[in-house]
Amino acid sequence: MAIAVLDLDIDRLPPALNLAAKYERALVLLRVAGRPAGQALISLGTDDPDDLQKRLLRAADSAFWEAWLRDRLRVAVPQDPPPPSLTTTVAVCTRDRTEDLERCIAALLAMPDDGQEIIIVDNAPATQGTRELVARFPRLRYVLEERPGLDVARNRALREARTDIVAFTDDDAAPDPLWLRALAGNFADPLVLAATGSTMPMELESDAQIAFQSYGGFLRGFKRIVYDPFSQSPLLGWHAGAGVNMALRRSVVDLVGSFDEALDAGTATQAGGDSDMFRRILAAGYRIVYDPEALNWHRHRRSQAELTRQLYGYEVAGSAVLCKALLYERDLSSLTEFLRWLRRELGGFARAALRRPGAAPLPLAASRLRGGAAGPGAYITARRGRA
Amino acid sequence: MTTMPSVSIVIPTHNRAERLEQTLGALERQTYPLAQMEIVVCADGCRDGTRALLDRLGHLPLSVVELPGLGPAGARNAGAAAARAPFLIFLDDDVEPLPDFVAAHVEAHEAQPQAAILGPYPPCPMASRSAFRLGVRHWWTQHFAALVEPGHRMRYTDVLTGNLSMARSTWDAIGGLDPRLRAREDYELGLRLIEGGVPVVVAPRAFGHHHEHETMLVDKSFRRSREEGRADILIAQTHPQARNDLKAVIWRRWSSRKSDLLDRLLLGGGRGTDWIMDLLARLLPPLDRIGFRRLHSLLFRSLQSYWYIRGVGDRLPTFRAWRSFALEGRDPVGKPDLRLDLRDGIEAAEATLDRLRPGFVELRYGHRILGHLPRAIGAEPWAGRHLRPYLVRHLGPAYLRALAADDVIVPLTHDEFARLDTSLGYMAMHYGPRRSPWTWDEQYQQWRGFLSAWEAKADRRA
Repeated sequence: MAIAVLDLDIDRLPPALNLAAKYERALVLLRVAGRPAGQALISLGTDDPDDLQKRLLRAADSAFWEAWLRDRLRVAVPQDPPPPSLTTTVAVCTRDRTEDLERCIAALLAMPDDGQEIIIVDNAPATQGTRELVARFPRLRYVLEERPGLDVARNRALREARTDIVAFTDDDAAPDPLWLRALAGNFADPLVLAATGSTMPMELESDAQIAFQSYGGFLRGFKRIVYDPFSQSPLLGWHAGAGVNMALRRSVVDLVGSFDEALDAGTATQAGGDSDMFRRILAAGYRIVYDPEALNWHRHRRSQAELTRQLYGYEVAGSAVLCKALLYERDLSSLTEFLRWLRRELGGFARAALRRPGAAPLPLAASRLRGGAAGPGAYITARRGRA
Repeated sequence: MTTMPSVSIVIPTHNRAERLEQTLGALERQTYPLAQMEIVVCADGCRDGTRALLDRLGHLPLSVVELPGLGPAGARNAGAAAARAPFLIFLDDDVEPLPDFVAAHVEAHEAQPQAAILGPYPPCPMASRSAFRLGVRHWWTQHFAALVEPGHRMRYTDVLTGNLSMARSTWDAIGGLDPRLRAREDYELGLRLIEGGVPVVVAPRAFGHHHEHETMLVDKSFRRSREEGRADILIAQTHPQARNDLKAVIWRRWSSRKSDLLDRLLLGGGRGTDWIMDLLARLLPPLDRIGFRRLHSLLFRSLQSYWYIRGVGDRLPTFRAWRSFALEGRDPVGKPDLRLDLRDGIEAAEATLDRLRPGFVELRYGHRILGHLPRAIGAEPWAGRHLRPYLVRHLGPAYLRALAADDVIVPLTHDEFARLDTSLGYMAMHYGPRRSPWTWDEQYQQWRGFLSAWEAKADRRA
């Protein structure tokens, strides 16, 4: 049961949507004055534009209405972000996924040229595909990183970049044209070492994609949030966002260190390089800004098997990072965080086993528990392997 | 120093020669001509190298007032009395002004000669792993961020003396600071400024970096809590209208039987319990080190409360005295000064607010009551520029529902309005800023509602 994904400005609704007949529902990114403001889930009825507007207004979230009211009352009217005052690089870490990457590159080349550099890090490729694809675009810089691992590739990007800010996205994403400007605008405060943005699904064609998005996906709402260690526990740094949509001040390498190469894709821990970075930024006393105006689109995993593997991986990574904090940084609060996790997951497992309404399917709940249990071992192994 | 200076910068200092040197150095690098400045340093009970430092800086237009240790309020009063210029800038010794600082103060003063001018001095950007440091940094950052938000309504608690300027005639008319206060003397001044009708404005470019990380330390913060307890009682005695705003009064009014008992013990304990608190304070650093942040913050706040109560006890020796002090003279909220109907247009409402400057307003839209522009202690009266930001921030859902009913958002049939009104009602639960972990709560609810409605529809079809 596919759901259409649309990007609409409330004041510039198209006369007709012209969607394929299979779509009866839509997830709509709502814009006000051209800026991303909120979202609405609607069922598609008639093609009457008047009706579409009313459906959208009925389903719109609170962030949309706040932006709408600000716009109508002319209080801090939403505006396109200006060219950044800091220099920027975009880095995409990829491995043998040229079909996705091509779409990502097209999106990156549609951004206004503020002098940003675009680096494609080809991570331990099996084919020449990426090199050949990138060679077609003189605007891009190709970097080959032979050592496998997403965090290895990210660190390479940080070393290759020469700019103040390095923005990361994934090969299976396609950022909005003003994505980079919006991210870069958050670094005026010198204590901000990372900025993250909102990530919407590129498509919702399969049940797996819908399930992932409906449990949050990579979206963290449509309200700007400054994560300060005063009010945000570093262990919950991952609330700020994910690696698909993040920018780092390059000096982060000197201030809190580079990405942990024992984490994330390509290692036994499967994920967590981004959330470990956010954790360390907060733990060191710096800030992270989540800015929903920095909009990115991500193609979620299509099959149920891929999704289950991904969610399993997140749990492995979650407890791997807790284990790292406890064993290697003597942060005892990770122990209480682990107990909290255990209570939540055992509760989820029990609800799934009893088939309570709204509970996750039992295999999924079980695999999450297994993932959490596997994390510490995976991290210790991966770390020894790197040493 | 033959000519008359046009601006006097008054800096009280107490044993911080190194910090003071930085501040004076920054004053030397101003875009405003040094020759037109006078820098009045009030060396208040200094026993470090302050005197020697000032002797060394003979090339600056310094005038030094030596004091025996009057505290910051008395020192500023003495500094102001010694100052010769018609315009005074009060600057703390741990605030390092940017080069435009004096010029920006002077400019704001020329634009509004009768106003008191606040300059921002947020913390010097400094990362820290210490929970205490993060808390202090957070307080200061928030304080100055709020001042420059659109439509901010100025209150007495916005007034701080670390970076403040006004005409000497204003200062003299208001009578300076209350020298009996060793804390909150700035709030008390703010109360008299605002209630005396002196406009308080912010000059964003009159900017300084506050080196709080060097000057605000844990021990000092407990001493300060005690001073605040004392000061609050004194302020409440001098300004009965401010009582309802003070911690010492609010606690007693809203206390439970359990907290009554505890406060009674602490107040009565006096000196006898101090050593226990000193011991408990030693637990703070290790708790912070192992990452037990919640426990740390709980203990820290409890200790602060303890010292605050000790301060209250210095003024009101018995619990009975405290309670009767807090419970007397509660004044009712009263009726609004003004009713505004926004259906007549926002511009008209703004003009009315600017004309009447009321303290308490009821906002309507036709027959619907949207809410209030509330009365607040020691706040400037409502003005037109407050209205729109206040509507967006605090009354958004009510205002939107009124607009929808009036067909302003989009023309609707009766049925369509009922459905939009319901959904705006749900939306209202999530309206306003969100903090982690509730950031994706609303989206989650949207999806649950949408998917279950869809399933129900599919079931009906089947």
